[in-house]
Amino acid sequence: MEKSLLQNRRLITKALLCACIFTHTFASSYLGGYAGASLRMPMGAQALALGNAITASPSYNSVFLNPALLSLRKIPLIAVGGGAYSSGRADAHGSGEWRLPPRLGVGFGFLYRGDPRMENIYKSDESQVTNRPSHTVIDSRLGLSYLAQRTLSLGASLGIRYQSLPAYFLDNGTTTSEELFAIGALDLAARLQVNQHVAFAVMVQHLGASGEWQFSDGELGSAVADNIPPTFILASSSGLTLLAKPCIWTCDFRITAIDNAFKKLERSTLVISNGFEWRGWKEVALRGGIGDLSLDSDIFQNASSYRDNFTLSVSAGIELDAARILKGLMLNYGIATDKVGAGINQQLDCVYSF
Amino acid sequence: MHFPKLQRSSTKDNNRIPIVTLFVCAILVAQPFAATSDTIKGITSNTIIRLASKGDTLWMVTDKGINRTSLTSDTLSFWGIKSSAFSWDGAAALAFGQGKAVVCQSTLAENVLNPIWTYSYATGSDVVTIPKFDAAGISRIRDTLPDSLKNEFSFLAIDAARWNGQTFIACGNGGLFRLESDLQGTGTIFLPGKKSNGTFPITEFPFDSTRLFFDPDLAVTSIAVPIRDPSTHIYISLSRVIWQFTPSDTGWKLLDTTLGSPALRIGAVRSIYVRDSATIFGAFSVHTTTDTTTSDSLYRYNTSLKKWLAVQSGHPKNLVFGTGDTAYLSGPRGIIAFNLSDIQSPLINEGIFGARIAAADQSIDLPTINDMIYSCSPKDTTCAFILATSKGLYFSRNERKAEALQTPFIRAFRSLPIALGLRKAYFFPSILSVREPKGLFAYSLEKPAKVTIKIFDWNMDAVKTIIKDRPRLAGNGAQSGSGRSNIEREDFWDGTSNSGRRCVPGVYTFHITASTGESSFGKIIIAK
Repeated sequence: MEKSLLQNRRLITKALLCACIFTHTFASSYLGGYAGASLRMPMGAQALALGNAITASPSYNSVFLNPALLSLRKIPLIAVGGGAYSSGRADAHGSGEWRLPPRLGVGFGFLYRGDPRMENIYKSDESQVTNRPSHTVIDSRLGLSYLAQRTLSLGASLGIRYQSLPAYFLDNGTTTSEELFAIGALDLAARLQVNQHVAFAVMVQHLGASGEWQFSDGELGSAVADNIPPTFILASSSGLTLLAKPCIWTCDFRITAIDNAFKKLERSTLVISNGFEWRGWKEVALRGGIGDLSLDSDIFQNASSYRDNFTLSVSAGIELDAARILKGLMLNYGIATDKVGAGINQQLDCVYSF
Repeated sequence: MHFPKLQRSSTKDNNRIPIVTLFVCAILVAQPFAATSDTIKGITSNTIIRLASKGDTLWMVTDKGINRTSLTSDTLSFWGIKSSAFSWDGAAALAFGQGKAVVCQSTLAENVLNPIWTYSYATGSDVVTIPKFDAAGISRIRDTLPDSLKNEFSFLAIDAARWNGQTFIACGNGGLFRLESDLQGTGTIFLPGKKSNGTFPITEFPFDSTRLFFDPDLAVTSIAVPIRDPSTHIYISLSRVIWQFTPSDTGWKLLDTTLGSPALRIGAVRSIYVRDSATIFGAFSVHTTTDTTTSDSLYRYNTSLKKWLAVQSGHPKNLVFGTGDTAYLSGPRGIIAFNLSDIQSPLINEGIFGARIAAADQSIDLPTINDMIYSCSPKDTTCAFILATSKGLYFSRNERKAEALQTPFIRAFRSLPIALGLRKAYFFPSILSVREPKGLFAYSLEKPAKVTIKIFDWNMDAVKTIIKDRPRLAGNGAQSGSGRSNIEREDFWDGTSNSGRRCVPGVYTFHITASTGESSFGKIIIAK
């Protein structure tokens, strides 16, 4: 066990150094303002509690988080959950996953994110709109996984994205919306179980995720491309012990460096997330994490700017085995600080295995 | 100009009755609007469409209602009536005099009744009142209207003017309509070239569906009362000619429409501007005798040559006459002041007026000027220059002194009451679109502080730092007297990132923080 931990620390350190060198070759980075912002947030209470360091760790939302995990699922499950984020943002999701012996796993899921009722929307300096417009993102996925070897699983998921956005003011003091459908976002993933304790995963998210908004306000209009830049994820999961109890340490490196057309972004981004899950009791697991730690070349070139834009979120959570209520039922709760101090984010999930 | 598609009249004489009839219908519609209007203290909207002034009183029509204020008070206080019936689409006509203001909406949509409102106020009172037409008579007329006609009329009030206590309305359907002084629903229609046809009390108007026709040859496009010699004539322009009307004897005189260039003809008269009988300007669309392609120009009538001479290409948006031989002209590039003897060499150019307007609120975007008036005290001791714009009212009480010193205009505008403290901060318009690609932050600090404004996307990833540690005054002592701490030329966002990249459509969050510890979050939507 001690050896595994040591090996893992070295690997993580090497990966971190490589990532820093990689991002240093680009100009310093901001990912804000690119498409798909709502999909970059942690999904599910487990991911939120672990600071979004979830890619290499078994999860009940594998169809979204890492489709390669689907073939590792031993028993089928369904999960539903939802959450409230700072600034009025909301979240809901559901998924079903099961294995098709001997080597396949499949899953489907949906994710809703949006601002269901936005406040303080002003048409002008003199009039506030009378309705409370809503912003909606629905991302649905179908995932497939193949167990290539006993320790290596591969996976892919295909997504359809729908988005509705308040776009125009009406004369009666309300707003009306415009919609976007985007079909064909592809996630590719692989997970390698190095030994009993250590697993690595690599994943590419949002390949080919593109759409186009059509805005037309009277005689004026515009067509705006909404292409989500792909994100590369390097992740690890290490089995450790803490107070003689099992403890899993997870770490994700999320790198966004190219756009949807595989051209280099003007600034690349590396976001590091760390989380742990401690199973101190039979029916309860505690989770914690530090996420959204952004690294870019401003660390070396413009420390003042880096400090100004420094982000960090601290998260915690709990998993309860609710088998006493219903066999196979698990409850997950996660809570995290907003990375820019806008408030608190919370998630609650219900997972049923059968 | 687009007119509703109505059937052409078989004879011109028949137009007298239809127009009067249409006017009655307008009154019918006016009543319910008046009943639902809402009296307020303050400007009804920042989109000000028309101005009218007499003595110390200023009236203005906005896209949300009508306002009155006294130009003599130290700070302009506005009283108004809000109404959803006004809109920029139906550029309303406004005339004012002897305590009564008349507003005519002239929506150009088909099957829309364009009502007329009259407003007055009691001397010494702040209350704006709406004179009532004879409700019983209106009710009787409503009953007599055939169902098939109730929704088929259109009354196009193109322009309005006050003359010797009487209100004249230029009818887009044809003719000059005089609203009688009692404002109780009687009026007289004057058809160009014809003597008066008498006064018609509304309760006696005959209705004949066969006479509700439109004659473009009689359609009036503008009306002008000479500024310097107001008691003599009224000038009206029709589609291709200009008439001089003498109200005292109801006589008509057709002005010569010969252009200085023999090869050119008037295709359409857009507007006329009259200082006195010797100083008449006209905005014409002209074409050659061989080609119907038109071009727009401003012409001045030369009384000795009896011809119109071109003085500037393009149509002015407004032309007003100042003191002496000075006049002011607003066009697409702004306002210029010029001497009537030489329009080609401006006394003051657009840049100077633009700087005075921009300095009023430290704005980066100049407003669209919709109307302007130059109003002098009886002995011309002081003259006010007032601009109706898309961003409120800009005025200068003593324009001659202001021009000499190039002092900024004063801006009066409507804004939502905002309490001190960043909790009430907001961004407008909250949706950035092609139509409105840029928005402003509005906030009011409790104490002077250094302010930082940042934008984040939906995942709270940093998008842009709008300002960082910029000093701002407290809201109660703020820059423009508006009660706000924000500065327009700095506190805005156009939907771009720090690197200048256009952000994708979506919902964004702004965060305003002050060095005093106050902070506020809010939403911005990009839909462009």
